[in-house]
Amino acid sequence: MGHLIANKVSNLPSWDSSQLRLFTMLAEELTLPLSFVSQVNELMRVDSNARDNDNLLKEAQKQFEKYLGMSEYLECLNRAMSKQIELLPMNPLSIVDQAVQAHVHSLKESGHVLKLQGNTSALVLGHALALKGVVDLLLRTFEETATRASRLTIDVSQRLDYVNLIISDTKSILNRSMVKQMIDRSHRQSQTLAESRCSALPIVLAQELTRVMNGNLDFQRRRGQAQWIISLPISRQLALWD
Amino acid sequence: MDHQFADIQAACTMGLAKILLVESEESWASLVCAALSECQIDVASDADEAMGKLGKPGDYAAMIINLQLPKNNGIEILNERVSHVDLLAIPAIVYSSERGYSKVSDEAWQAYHVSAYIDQNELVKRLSQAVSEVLNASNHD
Repeated sequence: MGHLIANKVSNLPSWDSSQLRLFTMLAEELTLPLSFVSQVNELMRVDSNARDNDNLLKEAQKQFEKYLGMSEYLECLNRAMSKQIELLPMNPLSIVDQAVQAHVHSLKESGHVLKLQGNTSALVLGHALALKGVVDLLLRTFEETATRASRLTIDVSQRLDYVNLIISDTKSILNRSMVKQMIDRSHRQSQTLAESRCSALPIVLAQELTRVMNGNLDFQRRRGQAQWIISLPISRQLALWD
Repeated sequence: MDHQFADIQAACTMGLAKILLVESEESWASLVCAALSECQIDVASDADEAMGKLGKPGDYAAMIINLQLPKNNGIEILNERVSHVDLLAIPAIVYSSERGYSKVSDEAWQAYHVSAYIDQNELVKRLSQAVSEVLNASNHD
């Protein structure tokens, strides 16, 4: 009997190291937001005034939505790593626009301005949820590291066989060495950089989602702006639309 | 309303309890403000802003500092405070989610003139009591 169970266990699919790393990062990163929601609940139990505190309820909702989105992208990545998603030709501008719409409200509340501009009709070979996730996660890194109200732009343009999506922020404190440190630290225990409180998880997740679309993610500071550069290969397939 | 909230209310209605909170995240700042709803709380989002607000140290009855801040961390505020006698008169309560801080001894916190360290996961449970203790101690001085 024991032998049979051992056989069944060994037949279970095992996670590779990058899946395990992301799972561990998510578990670690969820601790504080879950603690926040639990403490909001505790406060509402002991102090009836807190129940009418709209600000607190809004913050709890924001935390919940942020991590719900993150788990959706993680699930998408997991399917991609298991070769369960298919890359299709798609218009990057329309996907980026969907990601931007999800941020419009929170950006406006924080006084940020976001402009989307594109001068290409080239299609990329990608996955809609993965691409939306990359843009969403990277916009989040800027929202979390902007020192004050900033001007964000997303520029979509073609460069040789790639479409480049450049997300720029005028007020983010992120720099190349901070990004490198965060990614390096994500291999160890502490994934949050004390200077920014931005965690490595959105960056590593965006990096992996870009990779499954055969693209590349880079970071640079240029003319005082922090920039994420997502390069995705142009689709050579004929699309049924456009 | 429980006993701790009543204590804070008593201390705050004396018109003395203006507290400086140094917290970069809106969500946690909202939670602290709600937990100490009877106090007047001024929020600084980083060390520089906090030091600016502390220009008139007599304004604050206590300060609450998250040790993980953007740019300079909370320890730098504590260091700065140690070198200014005026600022040392303001009791400091610190908190963090970084597990390493929970291993710091009471003696080490005392060297930084910190009245209480709170694990961020226990903020609601412990903050109001810690604040009422420092306010009461200040009132008795």
